[in-house]
Amino acid sequence: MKPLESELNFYTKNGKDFLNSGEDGVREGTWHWDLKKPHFSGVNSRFWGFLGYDQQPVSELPADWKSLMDPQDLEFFRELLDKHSAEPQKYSFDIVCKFRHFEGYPVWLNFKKSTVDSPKLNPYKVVGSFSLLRAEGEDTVALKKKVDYFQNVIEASNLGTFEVDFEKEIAICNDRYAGMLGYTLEELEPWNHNTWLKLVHPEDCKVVKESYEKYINNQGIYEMEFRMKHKQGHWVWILSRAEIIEYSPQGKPRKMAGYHYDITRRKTDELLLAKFKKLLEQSNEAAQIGYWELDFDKNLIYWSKVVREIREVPADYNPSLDDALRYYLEGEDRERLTKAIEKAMQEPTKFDLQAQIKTYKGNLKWVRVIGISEFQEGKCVTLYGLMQDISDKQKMTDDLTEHNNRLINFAHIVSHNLRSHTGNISMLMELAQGEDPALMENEFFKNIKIVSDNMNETILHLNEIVEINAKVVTAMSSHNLLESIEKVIQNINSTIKESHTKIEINVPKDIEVLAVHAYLESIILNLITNAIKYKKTDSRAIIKITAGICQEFVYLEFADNGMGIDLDKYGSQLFGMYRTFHEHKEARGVGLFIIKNQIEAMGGRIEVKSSVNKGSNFTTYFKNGDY
Amino acid sequence: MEITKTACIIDDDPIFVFGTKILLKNNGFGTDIMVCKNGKEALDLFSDILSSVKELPELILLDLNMPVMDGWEFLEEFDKISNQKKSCIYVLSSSIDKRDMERAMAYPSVRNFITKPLSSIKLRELILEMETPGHQ
Repeated sequence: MKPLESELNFYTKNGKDFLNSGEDGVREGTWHWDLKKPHFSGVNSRFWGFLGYDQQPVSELPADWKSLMDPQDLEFFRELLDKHSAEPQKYSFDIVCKFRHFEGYPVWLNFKKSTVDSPKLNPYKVVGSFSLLRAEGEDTVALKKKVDYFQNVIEASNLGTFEVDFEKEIAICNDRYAGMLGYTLEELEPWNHNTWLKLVHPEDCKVVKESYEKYINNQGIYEMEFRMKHKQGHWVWILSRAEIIEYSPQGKPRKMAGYHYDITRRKTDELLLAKFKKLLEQSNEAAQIGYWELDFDKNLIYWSKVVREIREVPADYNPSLDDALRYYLEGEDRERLTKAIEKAMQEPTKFDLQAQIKTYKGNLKWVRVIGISEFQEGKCVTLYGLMQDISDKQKMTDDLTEHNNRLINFAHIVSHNLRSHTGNISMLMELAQGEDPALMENEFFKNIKIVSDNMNETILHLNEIVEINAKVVTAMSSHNLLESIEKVIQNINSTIKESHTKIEINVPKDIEVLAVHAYLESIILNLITNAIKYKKTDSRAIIKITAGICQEFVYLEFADNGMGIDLDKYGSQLFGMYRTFHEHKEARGVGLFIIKNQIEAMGGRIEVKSSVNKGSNFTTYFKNGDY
Repeated sequence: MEITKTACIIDDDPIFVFGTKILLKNNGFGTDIMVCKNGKEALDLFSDILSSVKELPELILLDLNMPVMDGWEFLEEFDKISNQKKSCIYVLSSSIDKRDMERAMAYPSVRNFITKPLSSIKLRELILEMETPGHQ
């Protein structure tokens, strides 16, 4: 049986008088409800009139009048009805419910229980009247609409609401309020100021209490962030705002309403950010790196603590945009920075340069400045970057350069002055010998001549070393590696033939190296002649020359099958001056020293692998001429 | 057939002067070899010679490192007063620095750069070059 039919049956059974008792009042309809059998509930035709169904034939009416009621309101309706039935003294039945009008818009009906006792047909039957709120005044409808609206907003915004009654010492909250902490409302009971404080984090308790008291005593606003304990044990960050909504006639707060909002995520992010910020600041400080920023939009300049320390400005110094450049030494340094900044402001760029500043206290310092420009809609809005005090580093570089120059000068002077003396000795020896050839028979004289010759040679070597670095700057050019090797081999062809040396060349035709021509030949020559010189006595020398490209370098390798060198014993001295490791009549101990200097002066390096009686492998690295 | 040639040594090193004098004499130079201890002395001497329309020595051996006026300063000044068409100065120095050589060769009056020590062989080559007409 359809509810409507049953309803009709019910009406017929129970007499039309009652049903129509409300018909006379224009603005009210009647309703009835069976607590045991809720579907046996009904409304009179006035209901359909209120909802705009009065033009519809009865067969077209919705099967159940309750289906037109807002589901939540229906729930409230039932709850209140139950409560009322159980404790009629405590709960009066008076409720406004929302319905959907035939044309779609909402209408509100005010349901009240009849004050007149209904005929005792059924002990579980409740009877009452309903009226259309609109008919009673637009304000009420608007209010109900507004309440509804706020209800929606609160739900959508995830706010936990509360209302404190200071007199009754209770707080009434919504579901979300409790849910935020993992509880149901029932679980929180009894909820009041004290039980609330029990869940607040001990560290926040003091501040929360103070703010609370202050606000109650009319100071400040009620807005705080604190932690509350979740049912599962973790802490939830809460943002709480509230306002007193009712005062007693004596001016004492009577009621306060407000909300809780879960800000755990924001707070966690904030704390993490603060942690990283602190970490960055600390590492910056440790490395003496400062942060600076120019904000062209707001015309602001920011210098971090370290930047201020580098510039030695007083604690209360407020920099202006002009200060960005003013501290750089007038002239070259300031110009360099001005240019870099101008360029960065024209297009998004990064600059990294070193300049000298004169600090607020007048000290000179070397700084490294890194700047990055940021653009918005084609306009440079900020320029930010780092500043580092590199005075120590710069001083070290300066000292080293000076030291190096002094060494070169020293070497020049030594070689020059010594040369004039040895030159004189040589000349005198020659003259004396010319005058009296018999002098050469004299052992002393003979030995002095040897010493003089040796000394001349030593000084020549010394000069060569001194010259290497000076030469390189001007004389580097690109050379074909294979051609250079072939040329050297051609020059020492007779030596190679005499010693029956076999040379295997595996060098690609197109490799170009960046080198000083004379050095390149000297290096190749030295490494080949060394291999021949230090071959094993019982077999002929086989030299394998290979080359290849390794990024910006070209490697050139000389592998031989000679005597080898005990690297454990001599490794550290191998490239030293006047180091000889074999009892060889021609060993002079200059070759490796000179070629190492030559290679390094040209920006390359030399490596050696060797084992005694197996052979040596010298690998040289040159700058790639095609790179 | 040897014609005695004139020469001037500008050097502050007495041993070098002593040896060079012998070498020059052994190679056909006269006994009256002029010696100046620095550039200033030489410049004064040559100014006198030039003003009295006498001939400058055929060979001038110039050291670079000297007190009072060094070889470089001398060359600067000498090029101002000299009207010689032929360069007759040989720079003799212990320096083997290429930059010194190039710098010296840049003076019109400098014929060549010789690295000390001077020897009979070097001197003979020098004389040969000197007698070759025209510039290098």
